[in-house]
This record gives sequence, structure tokens and C-alpha cells, in this order.
Amino acid sequence: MLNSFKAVLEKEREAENIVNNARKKAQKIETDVQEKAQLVYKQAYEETIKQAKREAIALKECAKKDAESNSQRFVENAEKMKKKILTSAKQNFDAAVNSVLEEILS
Amino acid sequence: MESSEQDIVTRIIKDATEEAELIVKNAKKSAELLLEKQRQSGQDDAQKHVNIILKRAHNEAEIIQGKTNSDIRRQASWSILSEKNRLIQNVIDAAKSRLIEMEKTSKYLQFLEKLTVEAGSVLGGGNLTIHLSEKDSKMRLDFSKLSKEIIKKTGAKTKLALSNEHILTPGVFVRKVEDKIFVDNTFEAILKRQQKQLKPKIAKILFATMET
Repeated sequence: MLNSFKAVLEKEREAENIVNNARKKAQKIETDVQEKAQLVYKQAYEETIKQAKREAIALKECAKKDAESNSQRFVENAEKMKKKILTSAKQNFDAAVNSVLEEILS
Repeated sequence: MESSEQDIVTRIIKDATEEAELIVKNAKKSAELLLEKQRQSGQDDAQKHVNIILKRAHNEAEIIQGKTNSDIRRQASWSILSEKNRLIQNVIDAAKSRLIEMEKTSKYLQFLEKLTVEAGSVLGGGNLTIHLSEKDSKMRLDFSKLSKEIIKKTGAKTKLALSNEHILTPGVFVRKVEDKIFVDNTFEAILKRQQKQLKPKIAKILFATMET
């Protein structure tokens, strides 16, 4: 009977140790996480800002590309216009030269 | 040990182990929650700054768009204008060549006399020295006739004398001896002087048949 009692008592102590060890482990987890929490906050803050900056750069690059693409028709129109100018100038070259001479000689 | 005692002992250890596992599990869960909360909090706090960054980027993007648009339009307009100017200059150069060619024709002497009278009249008559190119000096300009024409236009006594100093281009350079003033009626100078008024006229003719 006494032996049985001792055995139970011993196991209860063992059980108490198991729970105490778990509490210590939980305590350590809590302490560690408190330290890590600030880092996680800082990283999340900085990563969000970095992401926004990346978005901002992409936004500006996209705007420039869009504008260049939209303005391409002005360049094309200018080229067409230059061809017309050249054709017209070839047709009227002699008349223009004669006009200058007339102006100067008259 | 009897069976019932063994059961009690086993039960004590099993309960303790389960309790221990629960304690650690809860601690881990709390830790995860705390980290997630901090992560969310960091993102939320950054959002204000993010809004400023993105708003500024939108504004800058609009400015970039406007500037790129106007730069390209300006370049396009400039290239048209530059092409027009090049073609107008071609006309002026051709006219200059034709004027120089005129030196070989019979009309040239007549024109030279006209330029001389014009210059003499602008100077108001007086004692005038006439500078011609070496080649033109050999032509026989009727100075007596020209003086009379200048007198008729200005009413001032006029005397013309051919200078020994020659000019290098066709046309005439007339200097008034008394006032040290002159009129440069060389072809080059005439064209240069009249360029400003000639250019719009040339443009009007040159680009007349252009479709709009």
C-alpha cells in the first residue's frame, strides 16, 4: 500500500515537472515573440513603403510610355506633312526663285 | 503494482502531457496572433505614407505625360519648320546663283546702273565713290547719266567717281565721301537685307499647292 502511494506521488511529481517545463517553454515563446514583434512591425512597415515606391516608379514609367505612344501620331503626321511640303516646294521652286528675282530686280 | 494503480499512474502522466502540450500550443498560437497583429499594424501604419507616395506619383505621372506630349509635339513642329526653312533657303541660294549668272547677260549693266542710282539717292547725292568688282570695273557705266538721275531724285549736286578699291561680289558699293556713309548694294547684301521680307513671300509661293 505504501509502495503504491509512493509510486503515485512520484508520478505526480513527474507530471508536475512536465507541466512546469511546458510553462517555461510557453514563457520563452512569449518572451521571444515580444522581441520578434517589433521586427515584424518594422519589416511590414518598410516592405509596404518599398512596394508603394515600386508602384510609383512603375506608374511614372507607364505614363511616359503611354504619352510616347499617344504622341507617335504627331510624329507620323509631321513626317507626312514634310513629304507634302517637299512635293509642293519641288513644284513651285522656279516660281519662288523668279518671284525673288522680280522683287530684287524691279 | 496492481492494475488499478497502474491505470492511475498512467493517467497522471497522460493528463500532465496533454496539459503541457496545450500550454505550449496556446503559447504558439498567441505568438502567431501577436505577430500577425504586428504585421497588420505595420502595414496599416505605413498606408498613410503609401497614400502620399502614390498621390505624388500620380501627380508626377500627369506632369510627365504632359511634358512628354508637349516635347514630342514641339519636336514634330520644329522638324516641319526646319524643313520649310531649309527649302526657303534653297530658293534664296538659287536666286543668288541666278543673280550671279546675270553678270554674263546684257541686262546686268542696266541693273548695275539702277542699283547705283538707288544707292546714290539713298545717300542724298553729293560726292560719291563707286566700288565695283574688278570685272565690273571694266564695264562702261555712264556716270554722267547716273549723276543726273540722282540729282533729279535728290535735288543735290552729285558727282560719281569709280574707286580703285574693288569689291569681291557682283553689285555695287557706294560711299559718300563727305559723311563717310555708304550703301551696300551688292547682291549678297541686298539678299541679306531683304531676307526677312522675302521669306514669307517665298513660303507663300513655295507651299501654295500643299494639301491641308
